[in-house]
Amino acid sequence: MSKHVLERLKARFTDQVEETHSNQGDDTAYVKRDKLVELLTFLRDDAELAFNLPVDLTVVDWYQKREPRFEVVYHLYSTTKRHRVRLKVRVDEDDARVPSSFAVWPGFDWYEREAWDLYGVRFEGHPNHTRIMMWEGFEGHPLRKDYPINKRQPLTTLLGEQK
Amino acid sequence: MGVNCKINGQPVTVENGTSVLEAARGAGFEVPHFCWHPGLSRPANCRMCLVDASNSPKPIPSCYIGVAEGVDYTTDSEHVRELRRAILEFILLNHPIDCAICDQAGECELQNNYFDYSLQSSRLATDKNHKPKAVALSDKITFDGERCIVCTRCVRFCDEVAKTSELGVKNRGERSEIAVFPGKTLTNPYSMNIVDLCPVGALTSTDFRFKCRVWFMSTVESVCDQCSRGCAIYLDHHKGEVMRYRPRENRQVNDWWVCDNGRMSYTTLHDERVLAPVVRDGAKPTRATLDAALERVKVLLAGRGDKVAVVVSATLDNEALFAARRLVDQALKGARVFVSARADGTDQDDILLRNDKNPNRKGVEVLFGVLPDTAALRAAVADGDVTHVLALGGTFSADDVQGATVIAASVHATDAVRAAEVVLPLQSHAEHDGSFTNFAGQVQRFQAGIAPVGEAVAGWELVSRIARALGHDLQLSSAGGALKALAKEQPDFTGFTHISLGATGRKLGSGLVVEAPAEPTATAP
Amino acid sequence: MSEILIETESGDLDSAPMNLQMGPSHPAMHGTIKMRVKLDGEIVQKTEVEVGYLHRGFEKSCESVTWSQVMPYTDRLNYVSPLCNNVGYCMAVEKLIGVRATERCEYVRTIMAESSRICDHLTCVGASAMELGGFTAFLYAIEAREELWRLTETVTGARLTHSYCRIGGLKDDLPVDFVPNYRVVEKKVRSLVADMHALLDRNRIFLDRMKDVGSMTAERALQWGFTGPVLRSTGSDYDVRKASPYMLYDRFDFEVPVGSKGDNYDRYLVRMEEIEQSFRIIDQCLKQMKPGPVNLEDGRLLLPPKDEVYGSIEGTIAHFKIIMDGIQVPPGEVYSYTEAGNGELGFYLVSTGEGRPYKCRVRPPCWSLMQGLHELLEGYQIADIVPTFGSVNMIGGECDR
Repeated sequence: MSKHVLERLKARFTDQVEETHSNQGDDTAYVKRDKLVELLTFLRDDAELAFNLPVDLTVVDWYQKREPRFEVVYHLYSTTKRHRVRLKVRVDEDDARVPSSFAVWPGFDWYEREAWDLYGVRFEGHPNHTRIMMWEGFEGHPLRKDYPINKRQPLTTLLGEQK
Repeated sequence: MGVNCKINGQPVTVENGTSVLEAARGAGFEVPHFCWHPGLSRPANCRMCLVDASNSPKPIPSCYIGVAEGVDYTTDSEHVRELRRAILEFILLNHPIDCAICDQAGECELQNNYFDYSLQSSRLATDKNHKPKAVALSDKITFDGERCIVCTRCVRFCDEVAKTSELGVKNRGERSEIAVFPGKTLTNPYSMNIVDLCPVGALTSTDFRFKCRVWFMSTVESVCDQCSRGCAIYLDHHKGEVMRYRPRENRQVNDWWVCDNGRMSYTTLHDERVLAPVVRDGAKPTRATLDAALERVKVLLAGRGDKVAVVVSATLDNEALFAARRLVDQALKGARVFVSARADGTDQDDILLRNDKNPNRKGVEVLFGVLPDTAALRAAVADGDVTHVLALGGTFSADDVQGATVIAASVHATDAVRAAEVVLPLQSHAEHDGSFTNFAGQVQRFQAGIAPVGEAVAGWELVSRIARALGHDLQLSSAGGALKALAKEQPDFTGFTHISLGATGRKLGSGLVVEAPAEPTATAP
Repeated sequence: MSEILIETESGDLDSAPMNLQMGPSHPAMHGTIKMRVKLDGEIVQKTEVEVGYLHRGFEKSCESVTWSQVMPYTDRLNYVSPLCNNVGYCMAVEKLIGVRATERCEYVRTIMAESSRICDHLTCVGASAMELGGFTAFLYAIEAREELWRLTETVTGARLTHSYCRIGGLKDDLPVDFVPNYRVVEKKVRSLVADMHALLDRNRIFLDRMKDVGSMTAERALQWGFTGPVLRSTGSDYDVRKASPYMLYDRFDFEVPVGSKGDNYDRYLVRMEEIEQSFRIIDQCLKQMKPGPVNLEDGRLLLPPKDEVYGSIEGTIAHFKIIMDGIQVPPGEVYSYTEAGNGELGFYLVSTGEGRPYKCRVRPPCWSLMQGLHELLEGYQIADIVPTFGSVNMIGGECDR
């Protein structure tokens, strides 16, 4: 749709961009985790790109299908240039963390908390790295593929009961 | 000497004798078929595989005709599509509207092919033919004459694979029916494979009949643990219960087949299970928490050097065996190691069955070398050289350990296990991830299908807990981690992980040249 | 009124900040939101918004059902404008498959989605007014909504949880008497909306409570990821229907109302004007629509007629495969977005080629709105929480999923 976004990104961060595609018209770039904040800042501040709207941040869990296991997916939009981009950062199960993008746009605040809560991917540097949907005492990360859909969780401890 | 041709415009070179259908499949073009099967002879009776060929005015049955030099084959023209619609129309003319009650629904090749290649409305304006339904061909197999499309896969299987030739087609034309020859019974040890072979719901497993709908079941890839062949299977489960096993294709182990015993062995998964740890308080066995039981284990095993015998079973998976090896090296220094196993059978044939009824004897050999067996254990106990036995896996008998103090970790509660001082619950192979090494050195991984029964713990984890009770950390955090650690220490297992073993497994030693990963990775290589 | 500063120097009054918990069960907390509010007298010093009380596992549920079975789940996302969700989801799956619905289908989807949008805005504005004490405006809004729901029931069969769209089409075309019915409803709703304008637009109390309360600049709103009427009230004109027209929006003549101050009053005006614009769009749809099929002629996506299903093996098989296996969506991923009542509603779908979604992510517009809500509340009075939170139009089903 707007190939120049990917071109510009690749030109500036050649070592970080692993591959790109525009399947179904969605420009997508797989990027490495190092320099992620710098990369996102560039997307925001560059006059040609001007990605001012953080749209979505989520995680895809490729449990037992692909390695590395997790893909952190960012969707960005520019209201001035009217173009979009999708970034994907792949992280291993044993090392499931990426730098937080909170400093670049506060608009991923709760999205990162949700990704931590439901997938267990850490966002280093997030000012309030806590669960958002699930309650304290919840064990596990429910949207992971190895979390059974009908698993029971202790709701709360009764007064006087030991945890 | 290769044969060159073109399939759908793409140049393809195959070995002389390869059928057009197999050549097309190899090139990535799916050709629909009913009667053809890679493991059986070429029949060419359903005509679903007809494709156009530049050297023939009429379409050719691609499952039968070998690739000819310089010919252009077309598997996807409008003419071929029309042919497929016509053939499906004929097959469906007399097909009963049984989908709602047919077990095959959800895994039916007729449904799939109709949906993928036809979707043409019916033009039938009369009644359909009627034939016998729900006929018991044997106590394991139910036959439905109306659903049968007379592809003869079942007949050819009994002729060519099982080599017992019990089935045939009786009558002819539109009255054809599959039948057992008079005087014969359908009792070959591989008979239930025809249930998988049957592309429609004509042959169904009586055991599975009406038990569970296919789409309710989830499937994991597993390995049969009834003999040293280790046939690759699919484990189908629903609501935490194993519903059936089906064979999985593995050209290196079992082709497409599994023996009836192995197939039905899912019914034994819950036989007399050890549900919770048990500790003997004097003569009375009482249920204990795992921590309490492990405390007792520590008291019984710590500091006894070579008076302790660790008996590993040839039914344990590689991960449990590796944990056991670390246990002996680090926490039970000096302990003697023995191997216990299920008794041999006598039905070995040159199809699948093996006399060795243990799934992982080879795994024991690779990790421990040749170990003394339970006869030697019996002698050692009798001589007083061994006073305490840690049996990992319940394949030992009470006589083997007569006089010793026994700690038994077992899946099933045999008499010998019940007599032990401490009983620890072990998961069956359906409840955790792991891997077996078959008699020919093929290492295959299996996936957990159901939740652990009772308080059962996976072998590698239980052994790690025992080590921890004895004050040692085996550094194993998961089954996958255990295999990775094993791969680092055992050259034959180099490069093996649960993902790299894939669906078919790998041969011992094949990982010594590490292939580049297929997908790009985020972390540095 | 919001300029009053409360002095905290007082000898005999305890002037430590008070921590108050509002919700999750609270009449003004629109469903289930908890706000931890740190108060200095009446001024909100700091507020922490806590969500998740209506989390029902939408995404996880989607992973265990077929693509078609997700439809009822989408109804229950933004449950005041369910058709917007239905349309958004179907468009996303169709984008992933690589088909586009028929022209008539897109007209009907537009009509229904816009009518859903009107319902959404009516509910929001009505509830806002009620919470400030203007119960009459709420009653008018609900009556207008009732008219629309009755009309929608004749089309979809349900007042709220429609599940009207299908992948590749719709459940059914519009009923034959839709246009005359709609004209009657339109007249009624328009007159009620005019009454609401008359009650609220220049109402002294309404103005005092809503004007200059809960302001934000456009730049800050964009940083937070705001979209929809809340973003447009700040001055940014981003509307997906204009920026990246989908379906047939490029054929319609309509305006996007844009505010300037980003306060509650602007949000009220933006929503009211959007109702009018939605009427304009529906009008144009009805004028431009031609007779034709609403479903694609694709047996791989849509069920065969029932008499074929029961009477022939072919129909049985086709019906069976679509229902049991699910529609075969080719492997891949797609992000599809529409302008829903609250802003950019996105569906990020990942398929591995099976009949079930591998991942069905909803990008909820109110998620971004709620994370930035504290900035709209801090510095204002506790009484301002009610109109501000109301004007953000957080819908629990969409926010928490």
